[in-house]
Amino acid sequence: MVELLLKKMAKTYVLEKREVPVLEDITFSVKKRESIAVVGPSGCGKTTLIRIIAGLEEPTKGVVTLKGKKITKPTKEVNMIFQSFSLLPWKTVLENVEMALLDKPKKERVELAKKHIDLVGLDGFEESYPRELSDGMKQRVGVARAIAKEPEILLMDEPFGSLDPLTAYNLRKEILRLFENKKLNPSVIILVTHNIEEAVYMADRVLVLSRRPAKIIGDIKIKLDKPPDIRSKEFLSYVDEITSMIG
Amino acid sequence: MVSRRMLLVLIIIFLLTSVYLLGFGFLELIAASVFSFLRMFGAYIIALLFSVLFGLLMGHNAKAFKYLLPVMDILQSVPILGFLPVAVLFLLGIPFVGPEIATIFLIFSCMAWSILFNIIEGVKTIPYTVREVAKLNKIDGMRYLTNIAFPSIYPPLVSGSIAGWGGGWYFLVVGEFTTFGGTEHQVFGIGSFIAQHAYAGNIILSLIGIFALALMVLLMNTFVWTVLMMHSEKFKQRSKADIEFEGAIPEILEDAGELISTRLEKISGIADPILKFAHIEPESKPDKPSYLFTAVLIGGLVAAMSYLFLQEDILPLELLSYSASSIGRILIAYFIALAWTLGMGLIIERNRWLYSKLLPFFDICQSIPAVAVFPIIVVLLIETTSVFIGGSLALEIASILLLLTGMQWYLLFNIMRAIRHIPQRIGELGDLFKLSYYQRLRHMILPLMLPAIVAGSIEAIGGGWNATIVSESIIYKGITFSPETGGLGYLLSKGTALGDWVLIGSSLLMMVLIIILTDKFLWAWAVRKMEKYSPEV
Repeated sequence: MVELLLKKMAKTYVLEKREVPVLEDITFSVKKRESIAVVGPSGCGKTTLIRIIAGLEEPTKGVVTLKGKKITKPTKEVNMIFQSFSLLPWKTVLENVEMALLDKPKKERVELAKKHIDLVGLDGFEESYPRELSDGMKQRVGVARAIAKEPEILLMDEPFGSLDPLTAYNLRKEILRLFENKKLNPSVIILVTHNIEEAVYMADRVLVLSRRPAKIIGDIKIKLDKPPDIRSKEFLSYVDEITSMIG
Repeated sequence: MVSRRMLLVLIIIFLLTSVYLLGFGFLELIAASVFSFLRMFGAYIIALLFSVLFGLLMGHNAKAFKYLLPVMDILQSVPILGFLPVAVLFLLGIPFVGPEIATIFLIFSCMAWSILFNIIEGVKTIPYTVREVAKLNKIDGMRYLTNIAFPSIYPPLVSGSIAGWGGGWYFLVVGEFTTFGGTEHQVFGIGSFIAQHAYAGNIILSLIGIFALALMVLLMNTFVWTVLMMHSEKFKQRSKADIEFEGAIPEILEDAGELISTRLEKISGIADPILKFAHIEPESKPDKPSYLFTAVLIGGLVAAMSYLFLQEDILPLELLSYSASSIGRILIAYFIALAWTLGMGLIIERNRWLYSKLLPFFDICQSIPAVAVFPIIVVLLIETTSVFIGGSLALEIASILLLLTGMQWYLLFNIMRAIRHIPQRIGELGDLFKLSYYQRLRHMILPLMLPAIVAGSIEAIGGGWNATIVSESIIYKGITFSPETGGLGYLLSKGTALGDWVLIGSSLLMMVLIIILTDKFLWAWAVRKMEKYSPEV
């Protein structure tokens, strides 16, 4: 069953009266329980692509639909993790996660927030402030906040970009583990990254974008067990294949 | 920072001397201090409401920013006495409370701008991704205000308030004791206490008043502003981990904040549509102030001035020569201030021990509002210099020295702050490359200090224009002394004293015009140039 569908989608920005095409003719669909990675040269419009899926921006041409419904503004079915964590420094971990649930009554809100803090392995840190946490833990709070409403689609914009390699490695495994649970949302992950190893590690499918204006120049199925062995020949040959496409 | 023990010593000295010298008059002094404080507090509350309202609107609403910013910018550059005619015309006539309201309005006009502009800046620095989080999770309307906007503007609001209170203390003396249209207007307070005694030639009493005023400022700084500054760290995007946020005032504030937040969220049914209509929402649409509108406003000022010329005896030529002499005086005072503060800064940069010893002393100096000291400097200058130099030159020197007291501290404190922030590794780099002191000065220390010097210069010149009003027309023992070359401040004071609207209007417009042109061209250019000297790199 098709979850998400992008059809002939294009985005053009107008900068100082000059039209700058960013995305052109983007068409792809994502099924339930698929994890997608979007890679491409820096500045090619990867972030614009997922911001459009998030409903934060509208496409200039074409449509994005979620289960047949057009996405034009943020919905509770989609949420997002940012590279910069974007936590509120004056709120505790619990309060930060609660921010996603403000439309719910206080009691339910706290319950749901605690549940998701547990899920990302931060139980015991509910009353801590972001400044007291390591970067890896901060991003876990970001994950907990993004999944607190149990969105069907979880978008990630360079989520491991400001973490050190070891922390990033652990968090990647952790997110794969969360995604493994077939009964729980999110049922679709879309990850934007410039790290090709990360894309092959995390995704079932890697979309390769060209330079601006970006088009899809590759749609590669990754047939590896999750989490894959990063030293295996298969893993490395996927990495080589994608690297050569970006050039 | 002045230590609490030192503060205690100062309080004891103050109590003993004032009781000894004043006897029961001491109670009057305390009452005057309390009155002044309440007045300041009242003006602050109004300034706060004004700034939060307009700051939130202008920070979020591109249209409001575009058209209100030029207006606020011009109002900000009007020297405090420029607001006096407004105060007199509209507020003084109110029965019984007129003088009180007029004074509070004048203090308000000193306080509001730094808070307002800081709040606008605070709204603009809410990170883009935090806004996205708000949009993704439907945190809008009142919820956006209480959860994101209010906490985000708290740190700039605190630093703006400190500057605002500084401005308020500075002009308390003028606000509480003014002459308009030949009549004196005064309200009971520490400012009028100082002025009254000084102008009557009673220097000791005036000094005690200044001491009381400085003590109030120090107490506020130590027990309120320092605490709030530290507490506001918690609300910065990059908050430091090792700062203590607890304490009685922070706790009361946080509880109050929580209470207000829940109350505000209850009225979101009514408030949310209003906020949506005013575009106060997470979405940010950046816009620039309208150049056209600014030009129209400035054009209007020029037109108004030309109209005034047609009215009466004041000649454009006279106005220009007065402008020139004010500018000249400000520049001389500026270069004197720059020379000594920079020299002092460089000495202190090489000698950190001296720095730690001098800091409390500077703190005390800064807490004495320069205007309050004017009368005393006047006495010293007029009585001593006139003997040696003779009248007209003495007045010229007195005027420049008075300007200096209103300008130098801005430079000094910006330079001191810059020195504290010169990174340690710069010194190590110098050792590594075996640079001479001159080479370090030329390539490292001065470039690193340059942004602070520019910032200090902007504040100092601004303070200078405000001070012209008091420094170019010096009242001593009931007689007004002015330098023979005149000046815009002299003209404005004269107009205010006579209640002559043409004089007030033309001198004020000219001053505002010069200040705006300096801001828009010289300072805008200098600030742009400074970007590459940021020590962040």
